[in-house]
Amino acid sequence: MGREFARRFFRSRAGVLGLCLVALVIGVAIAAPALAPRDPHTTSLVTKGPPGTPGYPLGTDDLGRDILSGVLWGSRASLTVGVCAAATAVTLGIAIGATSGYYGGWIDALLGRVTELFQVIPRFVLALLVVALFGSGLWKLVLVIGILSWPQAARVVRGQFMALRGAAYVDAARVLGLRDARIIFSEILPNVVAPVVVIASLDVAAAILLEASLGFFGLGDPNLASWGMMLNNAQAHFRQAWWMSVFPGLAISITVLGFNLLGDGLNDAANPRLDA
Amino acid sequence: MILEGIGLSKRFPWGRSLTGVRAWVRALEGATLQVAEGETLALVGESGSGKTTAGRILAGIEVPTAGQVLFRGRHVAGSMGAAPRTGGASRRDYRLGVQMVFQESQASLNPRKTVGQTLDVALAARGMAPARRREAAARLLAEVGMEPVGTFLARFPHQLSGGQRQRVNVARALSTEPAVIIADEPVSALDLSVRAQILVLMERLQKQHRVAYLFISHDLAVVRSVAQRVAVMYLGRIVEEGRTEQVFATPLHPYTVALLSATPIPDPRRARLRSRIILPGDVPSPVSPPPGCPFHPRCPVAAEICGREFPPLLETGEGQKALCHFAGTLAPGASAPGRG
Amino acid sequence: MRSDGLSGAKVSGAQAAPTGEPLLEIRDLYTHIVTPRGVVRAVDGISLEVAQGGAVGLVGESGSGKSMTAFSILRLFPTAGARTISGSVRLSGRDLLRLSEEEMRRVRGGEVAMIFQDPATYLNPVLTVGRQVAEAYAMRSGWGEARRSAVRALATVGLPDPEAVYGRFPHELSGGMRQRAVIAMATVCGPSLLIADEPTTALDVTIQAQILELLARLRKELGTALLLITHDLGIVAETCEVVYVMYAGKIVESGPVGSVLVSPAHPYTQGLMAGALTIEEARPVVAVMEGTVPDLANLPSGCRFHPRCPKVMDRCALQPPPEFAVAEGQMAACWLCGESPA
Repeated sequence: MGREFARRFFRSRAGVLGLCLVALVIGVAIAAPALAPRDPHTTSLVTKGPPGTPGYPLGTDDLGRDILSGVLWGSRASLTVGVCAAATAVTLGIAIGATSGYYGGWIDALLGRVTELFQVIPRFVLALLVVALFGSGLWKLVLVIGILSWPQAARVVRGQFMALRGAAYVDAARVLGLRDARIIFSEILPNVVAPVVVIASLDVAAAILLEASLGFFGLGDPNLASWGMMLNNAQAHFRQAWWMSVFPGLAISITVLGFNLLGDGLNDAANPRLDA
Repeated sequence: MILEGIGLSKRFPWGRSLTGVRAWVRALEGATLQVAEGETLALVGESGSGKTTAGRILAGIEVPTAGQVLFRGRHVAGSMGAAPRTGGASRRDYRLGVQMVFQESQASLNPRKTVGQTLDVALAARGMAPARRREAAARLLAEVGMEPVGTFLARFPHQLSGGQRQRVNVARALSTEPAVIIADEPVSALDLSVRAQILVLMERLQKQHRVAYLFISHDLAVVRSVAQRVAVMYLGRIVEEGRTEQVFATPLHPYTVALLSATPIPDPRRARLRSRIILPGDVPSPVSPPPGCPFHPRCPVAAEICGREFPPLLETGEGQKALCHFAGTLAPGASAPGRG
Repeated sequence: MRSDGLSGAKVSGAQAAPTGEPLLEIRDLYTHIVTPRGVVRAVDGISLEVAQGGAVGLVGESGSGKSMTAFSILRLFPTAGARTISGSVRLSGRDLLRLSEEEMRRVRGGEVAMIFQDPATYLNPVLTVGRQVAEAYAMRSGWGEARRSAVRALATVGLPDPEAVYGRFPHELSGGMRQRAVIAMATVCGPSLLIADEPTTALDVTIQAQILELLARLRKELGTALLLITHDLGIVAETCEVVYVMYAGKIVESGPVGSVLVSPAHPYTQGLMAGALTIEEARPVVAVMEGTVPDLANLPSGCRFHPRCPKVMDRCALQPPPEFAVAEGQMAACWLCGESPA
């Protein structure tokens, strides 16, 4: 089954491209200290140096900081926020979706309303509000984004659990007297992994975008070299120094595109019926 | 009696609206079933008869709306997770003592688990130490005729044939050393030659383990060969019950007579001699069953009283029971010479 | 009213073949399916005849190729990669395999109609039952005439109040009524041959009895020949005159129902009959045959049944047996039945 899945995945060009982009970004994040020519926070006298300035291949910002180093180091912040927030969202989504789908009835009705509530509130506005009120910081960002992103995973997991809770093998487990927790985690959940992985991948992309957007509005972690903060900084100098915004913007686009393509590729491989 | 369902009823909500449930599906209406130690009791009926619901209630998958389930004479019915009313020991005995085999061999095995893992879960449920489980799983597989055991333990369900999967299901049911196995159409989805293999296996296991079967089936020919007793269901009620030879030779309820008459006989010499009773129409909806006797709209011998009054339970001296105002009036077709 | 139902036959253009000549004559038909696993030899050289107005049973387990035989007659394949390689399918003397696609379209639903196991899947849920029944007829005449014929056909299949049923949607009918509607759809043009693929397998036994009675009545009243594909020997015994037993893409035994089911000659048929249970007596259940039907993409050598045959001989693994005549009209493809081909 795994081999068949891999075969289908590697047949899709977009999915493989996504995987390559994601691998590239992860590689950069790991190797940032080695790859970056200087410290991203160190200022210099070369302010707003255009790309190609000797020693600064992508130019410098208004305080003379190296853009290339900023972009390379920024991948760490983006990935950390993206992956951790997605993990939080998926964990919450599984817990809520599984409970809702497995038990049904009034529990499902209640959790369904809560899910809908979280879906209709504008995520970005709420994130802005929370960060503005409680201040920013890497883990606060992770938590805020994670808590605002779980409904999609919850809906998918709920649907799968509703379909599988009546499966004969689940009945068989009940007849054996297995506890609900055991049935949920060991009998049903493994069968739900594929769609959850897809959602997780898309969630990472969305979280990275959200983090960058918050950073753009100056609500990111001020102590962190992040792409969003770089964009925020570039706003005031857009006319004089385009490179300050273009390169971090490009980095965000490539990362988000990578995770989205990966998610689509995994989804197509997990649901071969959509081929036809 | 090892397993009993007394006056079991089950209603499912049918269509909900803002003001509440619109109607109820009356899947089961006061059915009483008793399975004795080591016997095979067949539960026969058409779709909508409630036979599967009865099986699921007795297996503890569904909770009855009314009535109770007794295992070895002790009350066990209640919601799945709820605390038992009569001590933990009895509940655990019941859980392990009553197992089930389902119709769809594929759907009843977790697609992500190997045969070995599936049996391991069952053996663990029984409380067996991890060290002993592998050997026990191998023994179970050998018992259901899946050899070489080593290769089959590592297989996933999709790597097995339908017959092999059903053997695994039987092995899983057997793993807790149950006193009763509820088998819901265990061979209906299988091909003829494989069907016989599974039936032979089940018969052998019954002798070796003295396990009782509640054999749920729509196939009267199979029932005739495997069951000692038969209960016939129609629209949620047991309309006839008795020893297999009694019910097949002298059916009392007109519905049983019609069912037998509708079942094809694979012998062309005999098949042509039969006069068939063809029931008109369909089984009525269990949402709004007919008043009086539920069978009267299709019954060939129905009279005015049948639409008005619920029929009494008639019991012969030999223990055969029928729920009919005119039990025994409809004679079986012109088959069966020399069957006394 | 019933005789009116016959008038549909005129439209079909079916010409009565000279008496004695079979209505349907299949010769050496090969239909193979190309799959990633290899070539599945679903129909591998079978010959079969259906007499005018006759009732023929084609019996086999799943994977025997019986359904693919039916699809080959209609040249409609549900699986990609299926193709008839060679052979002939003569209907009233005309080889269906040589017809153009346009001519074949006229044959389907006209001279030859087919009904399937699950009636629900063959009815369009958004069209009324009547419209769907009338459709095939409307292709050949106007809608006014088609409507009248459809109502007649709905009456013929025993649906109460056919005018009302005409305007109903499939979900408003019960399973048994839907199968009747499908039969009306199939017979509205008065076909000379009705192919029924497991028509009652999804139905309850009392509804099955109704449908089998209906098929027998249509045969008698409209003269429609029946090719009944089933795994149920009881249904064959009660409805058919002639039976063909299929195993792994080949016909292993054929002949009058009274001979084949009473004194089967092929060990496979013998095994099926020995394992057949009946409501008439409590026979001990015996598993005569070990194993399962072979993979059609990976067939055993010689006789395809030899790995499971209780009477296997050395020769069986080497040479595929030809058909031997064993009794009046009864043939069996087994080395036990003779030395030289019939």
